[in-house]
Amino acid sequence: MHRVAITGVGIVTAIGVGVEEFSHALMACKCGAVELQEEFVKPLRSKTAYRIATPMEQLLPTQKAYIDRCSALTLASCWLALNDARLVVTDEVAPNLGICHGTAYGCQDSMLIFWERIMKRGFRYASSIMFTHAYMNTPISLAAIEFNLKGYHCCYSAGMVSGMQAVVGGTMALQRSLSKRLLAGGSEAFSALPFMANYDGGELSPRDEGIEQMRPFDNSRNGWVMGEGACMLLLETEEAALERDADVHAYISGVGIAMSRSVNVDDMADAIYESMAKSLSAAHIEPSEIGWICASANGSPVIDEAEALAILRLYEGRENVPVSSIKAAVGETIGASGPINICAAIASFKTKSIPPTLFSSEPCMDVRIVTGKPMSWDAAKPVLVNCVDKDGMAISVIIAPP
Amino acid sequence: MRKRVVVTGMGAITCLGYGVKALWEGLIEGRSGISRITRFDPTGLRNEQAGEVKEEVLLSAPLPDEDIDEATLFAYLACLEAVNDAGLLELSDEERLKVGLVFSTNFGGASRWEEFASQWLSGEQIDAVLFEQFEFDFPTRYVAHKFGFFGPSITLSNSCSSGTSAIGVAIDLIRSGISDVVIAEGHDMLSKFALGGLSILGTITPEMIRPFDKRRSGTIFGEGAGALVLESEEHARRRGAKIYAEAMGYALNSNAYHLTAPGKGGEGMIRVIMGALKDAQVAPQQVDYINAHGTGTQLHDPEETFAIKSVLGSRAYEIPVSSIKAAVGHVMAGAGSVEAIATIKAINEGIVPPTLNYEEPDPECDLDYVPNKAREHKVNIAISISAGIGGNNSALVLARYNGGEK
Repeated sequence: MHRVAITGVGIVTAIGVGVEEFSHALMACKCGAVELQEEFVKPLRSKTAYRIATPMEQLLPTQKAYIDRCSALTLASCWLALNDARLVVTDEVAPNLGICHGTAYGCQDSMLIFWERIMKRGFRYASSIMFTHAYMNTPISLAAIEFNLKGYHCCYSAGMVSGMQAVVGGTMALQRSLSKRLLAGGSEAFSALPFMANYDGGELSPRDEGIEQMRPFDNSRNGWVMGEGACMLLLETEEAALERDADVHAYISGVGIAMSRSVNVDDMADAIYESMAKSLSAAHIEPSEIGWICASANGSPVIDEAEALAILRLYEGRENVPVSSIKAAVGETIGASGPINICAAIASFKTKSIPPTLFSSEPCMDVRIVTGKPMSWDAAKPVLVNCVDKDGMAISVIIAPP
Repeated sequence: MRKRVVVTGMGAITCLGYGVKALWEGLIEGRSGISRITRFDPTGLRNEQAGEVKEEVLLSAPLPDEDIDEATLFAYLACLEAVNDAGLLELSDEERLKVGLVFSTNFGGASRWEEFASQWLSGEQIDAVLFEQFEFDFPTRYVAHKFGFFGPSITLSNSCSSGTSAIGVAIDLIRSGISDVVIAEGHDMLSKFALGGLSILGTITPEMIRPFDKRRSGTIFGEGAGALVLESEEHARRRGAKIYAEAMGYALNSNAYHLTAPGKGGEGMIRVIMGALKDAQVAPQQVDYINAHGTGTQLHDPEETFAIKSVLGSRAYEIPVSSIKAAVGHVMAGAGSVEAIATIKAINEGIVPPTLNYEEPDPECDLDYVPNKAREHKVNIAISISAGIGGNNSALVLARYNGGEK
């Protein structure tokens, strides 16, 4: 099987656009949370989210008559990744350049506009343009059209692990020679319906009378704060990367997937432990060979405790590894969260710093959380990146330095 | 040496009934399950008919106790049949925990989303459970918990090539050594959201669905699900499972051209068929049957015909090519799954299902489409083709299982 290299990164988050700006903001402890101005949040306890301030039209390679925000984020991150990789998509390259993309909620704004018209005026007055922009796979289709991505093509939708499933799917496709290169990652746009569903479902901070803030691993954590963002990675077989003399940011050296039997802490911890252990086994390395863990913790009472328990179990009898979650900086970006975590691992290689977990002053367990400021490291060891869904799916990926 | 992947269980629910038997009997008897939509008022759609799974079909099935929407119900019922067929419930507890799932859907729990969105738009109290049941991975989680299958679970949405894509990704999980047993599933339900859009796009015919016929004027959608148990050959043989067929290889790609128009000159579909044959290590001359996507739309059918001829050359004129969409409707994400099952049945039974409503040949569609009547035909190797909105294509190569000979 082929070794898979990451040769391009395209990232759009509330704290920065592009890998350089994102890395700098992450290490500068920037937080992208803003107070929402939308009318519908006024009666709610949750009033903040992590929003991208840059107008979408400034991030797109070409101007569009209409594009959903989720699709726009996808196009922007693909464009950044291709530029970062210095890959020119010629007719020769295109058939072997694919895309794997994940999103949990897709184009909710377009869906709602389309549905409102049907509700009010009936089937005959439905909008065909809105419908074609409302599919879950519209973002990936538009990206394929925009950038001439004719190769392997797959859209994933599985909650918070959507983008990470795309990375795993893309990695498998490259390892099996189904493509030479592909963009893999995820995107999620802020939208009223998912916000309200997660608020009503009791997921969002503040779940109690405490302050509204995402505090991963902290004893006072009280839910997560919704974010938006996108991250697409250009993955290539090592041979394809060498063929064009590409700069390698990192390698994907192992993946692990596990599903929890329930959403209670112990079962979730078992699943996270299993996914981490499988990823290490796939990479043929021991836990002690990991430099740090880029955690999925997002301030959720269950996920954070389960992840902490799983890490403690993995490192039982070993020196504790540094652990950090970047979610308080970028928000819970749902389908984009896994790939954004991978980008944080790459940022730690470039800056030789491990980003801190913001707003975590009293860690919930005896896990070695990096807090306060970035921690220096030699960037010589792989990073274990976790991505965990609130419903119990866990994916771990080992990101090795070039 | 790469792992061989075999199919050891199948399950289906379509407008022809619950179960693979009902599907296959309906197909070879030349019956169509298309009828007027009863679940909601279809007035205003280009066609008020569809391949709806009627209430009496559902009532004949072993329904679960939970209040779930049709999308999840179809996925569950197809999986239930496939799981029983493959004997997966007889696996040890430890092995059952490792069973993986690759599910796919175009519209998720669409009726639940419609209800949630309507609550929001009208200012009513919203119910978050409705949105949760809309989420595309809800059926995946539901089935995992119902059967205790907690291996890798993946949910795809590749529009109408989703079902075939799911089988492909399941092959990857097995060949990559991540799983030994994976259920690949595709499902979708008829909903106002989906049909409202597909109708205004003009994809739906106002008349009758006639794949490859000169008078074709569009497709008719359907609902349901198909589920296939895929397994490494080694695992299947070790546990003495019956083997229906071998999943030889697949390919996915994009036309990278237009959201709704077919690709230029069938180029994407040509590449996807070639890619699947390459992954399967099969030569075009070895192909005995093609289960076509054959939607009955003006533009798609000639494009698919051209692609088949381009890849298979003269062989394309020697083999049957049929579409089952006039019998079950276009089952959206379920299409590829249900069509893979029909293809495997053709391999096993030596009978190819017909293309219904085919009367007038089109010079642009000049292959043997098995008009209206099933036909005996020995099939060793077959291709199932799918394509979807957004311009994506998928193809799957299935073969008669040769008992482990290389």
